[in-house]
Amino acid sequence: MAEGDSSAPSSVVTALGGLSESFCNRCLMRLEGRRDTAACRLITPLQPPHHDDDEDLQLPLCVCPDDATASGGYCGLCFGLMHLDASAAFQRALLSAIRRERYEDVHEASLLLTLPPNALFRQYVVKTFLESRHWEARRVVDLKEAVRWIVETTATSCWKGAFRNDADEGSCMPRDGFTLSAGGEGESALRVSVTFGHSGAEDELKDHFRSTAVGRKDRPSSGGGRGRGRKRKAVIKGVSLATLQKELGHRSASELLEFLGLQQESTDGGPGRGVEVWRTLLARVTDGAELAAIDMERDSIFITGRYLKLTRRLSQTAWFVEGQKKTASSVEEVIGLPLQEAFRAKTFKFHASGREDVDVRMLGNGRPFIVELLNPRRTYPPADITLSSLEAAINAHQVAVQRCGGSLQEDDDGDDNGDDTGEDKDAMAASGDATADVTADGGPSEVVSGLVQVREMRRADKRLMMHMQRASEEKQKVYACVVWTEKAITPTSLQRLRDAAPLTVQQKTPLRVLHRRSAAVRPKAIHWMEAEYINGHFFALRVCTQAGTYVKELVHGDLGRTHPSVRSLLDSPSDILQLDVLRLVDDEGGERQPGEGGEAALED
Amino acid sequence: MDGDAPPHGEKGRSSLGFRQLFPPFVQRYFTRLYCLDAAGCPGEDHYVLQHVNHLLVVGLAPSHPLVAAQPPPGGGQLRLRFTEEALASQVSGKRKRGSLSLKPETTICVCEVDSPSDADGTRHVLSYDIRACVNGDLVEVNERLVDNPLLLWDERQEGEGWVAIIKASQRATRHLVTSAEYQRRRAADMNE
Repeated sequence: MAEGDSSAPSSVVTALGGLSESFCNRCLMRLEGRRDTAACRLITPLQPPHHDDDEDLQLPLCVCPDDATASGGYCGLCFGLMHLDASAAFQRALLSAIRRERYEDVHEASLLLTLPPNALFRQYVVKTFLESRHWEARRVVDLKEAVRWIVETTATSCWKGAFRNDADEGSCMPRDGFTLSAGGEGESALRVSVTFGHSGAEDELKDHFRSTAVGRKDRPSSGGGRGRGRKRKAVIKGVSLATLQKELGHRSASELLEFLGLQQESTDGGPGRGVEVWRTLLARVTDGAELAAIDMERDSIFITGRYLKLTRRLSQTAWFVEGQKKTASSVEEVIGLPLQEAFRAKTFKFHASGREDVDVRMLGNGRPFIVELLNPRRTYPPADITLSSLEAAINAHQVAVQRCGGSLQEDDDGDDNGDDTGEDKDAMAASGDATADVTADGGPSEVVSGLVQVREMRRADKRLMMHMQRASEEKQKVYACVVWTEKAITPTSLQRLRDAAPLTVQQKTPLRVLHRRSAAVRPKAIHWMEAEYINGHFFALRVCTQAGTYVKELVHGDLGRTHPSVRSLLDSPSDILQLDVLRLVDDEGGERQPGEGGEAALED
Repeated sequence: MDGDAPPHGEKGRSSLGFRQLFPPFVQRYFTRLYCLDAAGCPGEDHYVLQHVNHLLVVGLAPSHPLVAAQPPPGGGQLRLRFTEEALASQVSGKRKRGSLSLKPETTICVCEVDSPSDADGTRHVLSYDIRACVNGDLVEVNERLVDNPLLLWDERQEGEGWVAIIKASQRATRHLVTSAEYQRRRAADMNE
């Protein structure tokens, strides 16, 4: 033990009476109110272990050094945590976690510390006791605060040492050094959470709270197994930290004992006898505290842009049936994966302003999207990776597309893809029940490049995402499609469509999505329609609709459930062959009248 | 494609070639099943279209006596009403809670047609119950039929004469027959 620790502060020892035997010197300093770290002689110079012992440490891990143990076990207040700075195991665990994650561009981080709940319980107990001895409990340095000093100093020192021997240390070393601070601010601040547990926590709290209303209410359902993993969770479930605060925060010594069902045997038996109860509550423990988890997380980075989809064989989102990926690729993967890699993100989420079916191309000015990169290990990619170089890489990306298709012609596969996508903003519902028996043949059989084009990629923040999702409700969309009619048409008869708009159609939830969307009749505005005669049974239709209109149903009528429809307006069974989204009319471009062109800039 | 073919002739003939290349909406999305002699009433066949998402669309098969006969001219002697339970069925949410539970024999709507007067001047009213055909939950009824019951005779592939949309388990359709089986059975009946 460090020599500075050996002299215990005398005044608090007096106040504690015999209880002080259960506590380590550093805890006595805390109780005394010594805030100066020097008094605790924290942080012995750290010698980071060499790289080759970069083991993957199994947590929970006993991290409290043996030399913190006086005879009879670990300190009854901190369970050894106050001596963490001397723990080689804790340093190894920190180093291992730091090296595993290899965060870059880290300047500061915030620490989220979780202590064993029974240590917090004991802190309430000792404070209550000290107050009954007229010791100002306000002076006591909180255990969490003290352990935070130690963990922060150790982590900062580990971080500096972690990449000392790395060949590419420049990329991982914090540029301006690394600081862990309680309130790490900034958009890309790293959050390090360190969780400590204690093997006896659950039983101890259960014992104490057994007779209380809290214990009866909160007690875990049964004894259960005694596995290692159980500890941390079960304890927190058993008696929550909020419960401790609420139940113990403001009780006097006798009230506390009464609450815990531990009546002082005799109030007149002198101070010595009363201490026995407290001594039991705060006794030394045989096991030290354990390191249960080290987690690191950084705020998401958002990249926004617009995309074009120049194929009818790629869906917007990855398609899963019962957890199995059914499609070789998707727009979200083509765009998201290179970004995920560039920023070394854990994973990504793709948010788009609306969506299109697998067999629908997205042309014109493209569809706005935001990629949310979760837990990025890097916030500034190296100089040779820029957003425009990523754009170029995505645009040249070789996309694996489905073998089948080419038009709205749906075989079994096509049906289900059509079924799982819609022009609405629905997330792709995991409708496992509806597609359970589908044996989709989504294997890659063709690789084509340039099918997804992105543009205008730039960094954004979370607010833009909210804005985008709200705005998508109000947008107008221009579609182009090829329509077949059973009855013969003439250029003149098509005039009926042009004259019908603007109109509002009553659209019942289409049958193909009715299994996963609620049934409703949604009025949808059709702003204009423009039909171009091809021959007696075919015409090209351009239509501008309110966002959320199902255009396929607008054409064929969905068994009369979308009304009016092209079918009803032409009084002939009609079908839709090909569909493209030509333009999204959003903030950037005002509404344009048909024929003004621009939208038909088809890249293929 | 034969898009320029003259539109005369039988319904749909004009673009048969195209339809072979590109099957109609109903064929692309649905499997056509039949319920023969629904609720034990001989000849009262119903069709049940099974969507790939397993929703069912129920209507009258062409062999059903009501639609096998010519529709009454103008439809004036034709009355169709949904049962109160069916109309009261309110579904909510994705799970379609609160919907009416159906048994195969549950009547969804009743269609009455006045037969022509007999020689002695008495009039008969033929009444048919249109039934659910399967165990399931009623999602929607085709209320357009009330004003336009002639839609029941709409045999075209995109027929709008359906009666009800039902959410049912996959097992619920086990007693139904396939389109081929339906053709075979009804053709055999005609030959008898």
